[in-house]
Amino acid sequence: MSDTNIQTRPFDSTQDDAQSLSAILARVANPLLLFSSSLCLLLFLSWMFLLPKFTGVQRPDGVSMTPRGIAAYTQKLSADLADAQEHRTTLVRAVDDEGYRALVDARTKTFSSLDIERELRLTAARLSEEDGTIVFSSITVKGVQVAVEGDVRNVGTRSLTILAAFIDSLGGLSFISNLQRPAFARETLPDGSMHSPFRFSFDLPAS
Amino acid sequence: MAPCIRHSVSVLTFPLHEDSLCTSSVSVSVRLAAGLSLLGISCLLLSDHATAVHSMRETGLPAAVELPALEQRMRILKEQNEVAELQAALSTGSAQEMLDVYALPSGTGSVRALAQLDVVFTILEQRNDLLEVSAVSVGTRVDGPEQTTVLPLSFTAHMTREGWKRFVLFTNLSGLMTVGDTIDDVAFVDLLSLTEQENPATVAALEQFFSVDLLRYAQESRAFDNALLKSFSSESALQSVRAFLDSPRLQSMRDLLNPLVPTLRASRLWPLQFMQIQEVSQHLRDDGTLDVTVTVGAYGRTN
Repeated sequence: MSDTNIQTRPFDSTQDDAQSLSAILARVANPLLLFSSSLCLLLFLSWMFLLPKFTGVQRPDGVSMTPRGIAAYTQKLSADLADAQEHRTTLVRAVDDEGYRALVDARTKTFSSLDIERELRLTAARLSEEDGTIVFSSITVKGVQVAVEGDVRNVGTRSLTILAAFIDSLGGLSFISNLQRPAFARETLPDGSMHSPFRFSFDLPAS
Repeated sequence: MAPCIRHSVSVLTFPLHEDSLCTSSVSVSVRLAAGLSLLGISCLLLSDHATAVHSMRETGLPAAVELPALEQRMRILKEQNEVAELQAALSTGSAQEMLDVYALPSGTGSVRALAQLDVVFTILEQRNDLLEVSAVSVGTRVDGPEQTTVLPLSFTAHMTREGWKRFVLFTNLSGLMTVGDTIDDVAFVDLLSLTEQENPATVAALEQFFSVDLLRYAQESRAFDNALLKSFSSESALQSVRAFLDSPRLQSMRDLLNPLVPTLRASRLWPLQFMQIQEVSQHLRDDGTLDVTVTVGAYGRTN
């Protein structure tokens, strides 16, 4: 059982819709004003006092900053750190000539014919063939272009298969690009043994 | 008394006078407008709260976590830069002058470059690594990178594999003047970072080590190595420094330059002129020796 007792003003059936709407708005106006002013006041107080307290970050020197402020400050500090680090490198290096450093760095990154030969030998060794099966008789380096000549020998009729496997594995080396594959052929030497001479070329990365 | 809506449970009642509905319509509008405005402002404030919390979570907290370490590193770097500046002010002689006069000389002469090749050929012959060498032909000077000119010097030689390795290393060492020049940027920064974990003042010892003349270092490497190692105390830092000192690059550099010290000093060729192998063709002989046809570029500054 409800003890609610609602007394309503008798509704005049002749009143138009506008009047009823006005009546509804008149009834809503005060609660709306009261609610929104209270909410606004509370949120304003929170915005003024609570939000900075809970979302502010204090720097070690005691200065409090907003999240965006602290992110910008950290970014600036990182940039200053990079500058300070560069300045330190400049101070510690006895010679800090940019052109000279660029020349030295470029030379350090350049592959010598010995580096290339070592990498080719390592690749050949991964094929698990006996040492001396794949022989590199000539390596020519002109700028970034490399030409290699050699021979697959002492493996009988398998020379062509081994050469093909070796060339395939060269494709996986990171410093090789634009690999020009050799003509695959098996030849017979005067002593009757089989071999597969090869000549291929590739490009080195530009330093 | 006008009829009103009354709720017996409700605390608040809002009496509405029939006449006042008309007469106070302006007042109702004002109250409604004020209510809605305040509601709008509340929404904005709420949105600002949400933005602040989101911003705190996404950017503020990560930045705040990072900040103490960054500030500490900044303090160390400032301290190190002060020490390094002081050390630089105390150092005598200008490495830049040496660079301009010897490593990258301006001018069109080829005497020093040819003398360098002569020295390395002599040393390789003494070691029986160079079996035969042709005359060196001097090409036409061409423009190089970084405002330099390059003088091509070509020759053909028959040498052992070891000899060819030594020649390549000699060429790669030419133009370098100090220990610091032999180190690439990554290793350089790694070693400097070690000093941040140690006493920041050890940067002075590292700076001193890096500025040691390369030829002097090749002659007395042990003394310089020990002096550097004494500056570090933690085991991890010592391990890293030892790894650097024992690196193959530094080791091979010491081995190559050490026997060359008297010759290079006597012939006044140190610091060497910057050279780089431009073209090479190596052919393997049946006995394992190599025939090499080489073009070496001797670098100089443009006038």
